[in-house]
Amino acid sequence: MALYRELPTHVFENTAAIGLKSRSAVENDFVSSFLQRHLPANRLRKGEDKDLKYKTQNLDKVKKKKPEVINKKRRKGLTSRERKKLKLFDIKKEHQSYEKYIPMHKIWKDYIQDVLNIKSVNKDNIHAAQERLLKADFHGSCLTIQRSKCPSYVGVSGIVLQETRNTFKIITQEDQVKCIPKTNSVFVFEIGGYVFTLHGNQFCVRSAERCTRKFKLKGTIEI
Amino acid sequence: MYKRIVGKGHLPYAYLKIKLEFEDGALEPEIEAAMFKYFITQAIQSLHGEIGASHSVDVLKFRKRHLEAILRVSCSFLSKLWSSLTLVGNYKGQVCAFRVQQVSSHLMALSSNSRELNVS
Amino acid sequence: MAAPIEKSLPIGKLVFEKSSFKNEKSKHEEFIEDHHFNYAISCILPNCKRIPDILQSSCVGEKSFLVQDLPLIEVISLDLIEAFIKRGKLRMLSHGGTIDGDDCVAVLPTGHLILHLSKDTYQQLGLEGKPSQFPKRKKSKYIVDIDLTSPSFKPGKKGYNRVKWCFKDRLGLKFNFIATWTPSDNEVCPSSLQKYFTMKGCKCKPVKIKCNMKKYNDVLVPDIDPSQVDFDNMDYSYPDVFEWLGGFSCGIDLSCNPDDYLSTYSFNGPTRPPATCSYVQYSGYFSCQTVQSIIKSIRDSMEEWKLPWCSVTVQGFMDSPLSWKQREHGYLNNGDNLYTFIIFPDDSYWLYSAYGSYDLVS
Repeated sequence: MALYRELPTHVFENTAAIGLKSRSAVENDFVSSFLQRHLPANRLRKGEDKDLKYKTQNLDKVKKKKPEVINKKRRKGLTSRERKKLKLFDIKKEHQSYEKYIPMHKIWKDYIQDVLNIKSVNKDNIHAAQERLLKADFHGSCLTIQRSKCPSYVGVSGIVLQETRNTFKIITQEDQVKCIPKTNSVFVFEIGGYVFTLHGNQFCVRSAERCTRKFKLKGTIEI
Repeated sequence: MYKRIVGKGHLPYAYLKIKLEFEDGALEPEIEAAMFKYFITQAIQSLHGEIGASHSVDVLKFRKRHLEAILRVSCSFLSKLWSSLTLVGNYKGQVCAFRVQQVSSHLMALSSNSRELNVS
Repeated sequence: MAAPIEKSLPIGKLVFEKSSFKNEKSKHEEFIEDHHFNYAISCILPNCKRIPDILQSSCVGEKSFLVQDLPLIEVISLDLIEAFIKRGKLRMLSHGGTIDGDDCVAVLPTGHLILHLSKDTYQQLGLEGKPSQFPKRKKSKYIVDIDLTSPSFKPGKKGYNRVKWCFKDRLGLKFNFIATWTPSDNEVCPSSLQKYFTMKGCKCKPVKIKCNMKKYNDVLVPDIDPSQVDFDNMDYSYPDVFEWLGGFSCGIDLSCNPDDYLSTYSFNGPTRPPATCSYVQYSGYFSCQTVQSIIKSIRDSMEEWKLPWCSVTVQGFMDSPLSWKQREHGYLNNGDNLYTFIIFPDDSYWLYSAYGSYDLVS
């Protein structure tokens, strides 16, 4: 059955003069142009408008998507990736001088002596002091690499500027900032007449997580 | 005129310089060369059985006074001989042990031992 | 009995060479010179009743000595490099440590300082090196190679300062060294090195040369025909001769019957009529020059002594970090590195070089 009523004969006879398209052409294009208008873009891309035999399409109740409102209020600061991109972790060239960090080291010294209670440390309670040391903060400590799998790290010494999960960022006395991986190295530092040794392999934890973490009593110290 | 031959794979024999030691202060029994060889064969037999014992072990040299000997075995049998010697515990009821002092596939190498260089 | 283990390392390797001293391309001199650390020299002289004095004098006159507790920092001092390493052939080897367990150090005449370090020392010392090839894959030993004669190895340069700091401040490494020095200038006395070390406050002692002489009567010496090219159609081959020489050196009675209960050893080749045969072994530490001069004097007086042939064996130190040139050396079951020259009256020679399993063969 035809979709529309036939045109009146006088119009029909003069179709060419008026410039009307032939009926069959309009009928064929109708569906495809309708689909072009209403199908979602991704389905159009798949070419679904060509072959509708096996596909269903709701013609009424088509919802239009609301434009997404980005919830900016959820996060206050920048993500860590963004911070890295902005080079917030990098220390500027003019700030890379050992002397600038000596006060920080002094503060750290006071802090660690406080934490360890260094004056009352003796043979019996040295173990407890070691436990406390594990949970202490190392920003500002002066570390020396005593042994390492990579020989060129051996002997590097300086103030810790930053600690990440796997590295220490150290400024040496020659004003060089060096990033030293904790794995496969053994660090040494000295406070109040005691020399403490840190085994880097066992120390690969973020400083914030370290204070709640339980350490194994006897790990292998081989590197 | 010029010729060079590089030996491939295993050399046919392995040589061992061994010493039979008894406990300090114990009276060392007199052992003849034939007895010594029999003792070694016994040791191999107890660990590796008849087939092991049928393998030939040559006692090239035996110093009766020091109970030292140079043995020759085929290279593939070296580890079996060595393991048998290690597990020897007594000679006719007396506690003893074999010390393997030098092992080499060149008999020439046993004629000296650079670890014995004593300067002082 | 267990199945044979496949793919096991051979416990020794043997290389045979045949050439003539007259051959222009013959590399015997380089070969001797490349074997740096000689522990023992032994000679077998068939048909000879007395050890010639010339051997005695050149071996006993060896000027090798031991330096006790020499700090490594002294080895890299500029005085030593300029006065001795660059003006002669200095060969030093640490003494007393084993190559498979301890640290070993060697100074080569090329001016290279080779440190063969255990993993512990290597990680604490702080000098870049590479893992040793032996044992394979198990990185338990490391080799550090320092070129002392390099033009950039000078005080004030970064590399030199690092090495100096590592030897001085990190680990005060000290070793007992045995040393020989062959000056390139003939007028300088080789013993001046000893004087230098004494001046630096180190105790020096001469390395005692031990001598072991033996004379055997009625020995059936193999009759070796040097003109033989191939061993295919013969009763004996080159390893048999080497075994005979080894047996003779160890004082083994080689005339035994193959049907004997004790030993089935026998030498199949032709033998010469029974004669008196002399054997001498000197052990201590010998410079390559001594070996050269011994071989030369034997060659010169072969005719005079009427020897059918003569063998000279030089054994290296088991615990040396290198065998020939800079080829790595290790210890597994044995640390063999030795060579034997069989010298014939017509100036041709047979050369055996014997290696242990942890050795590189060129």
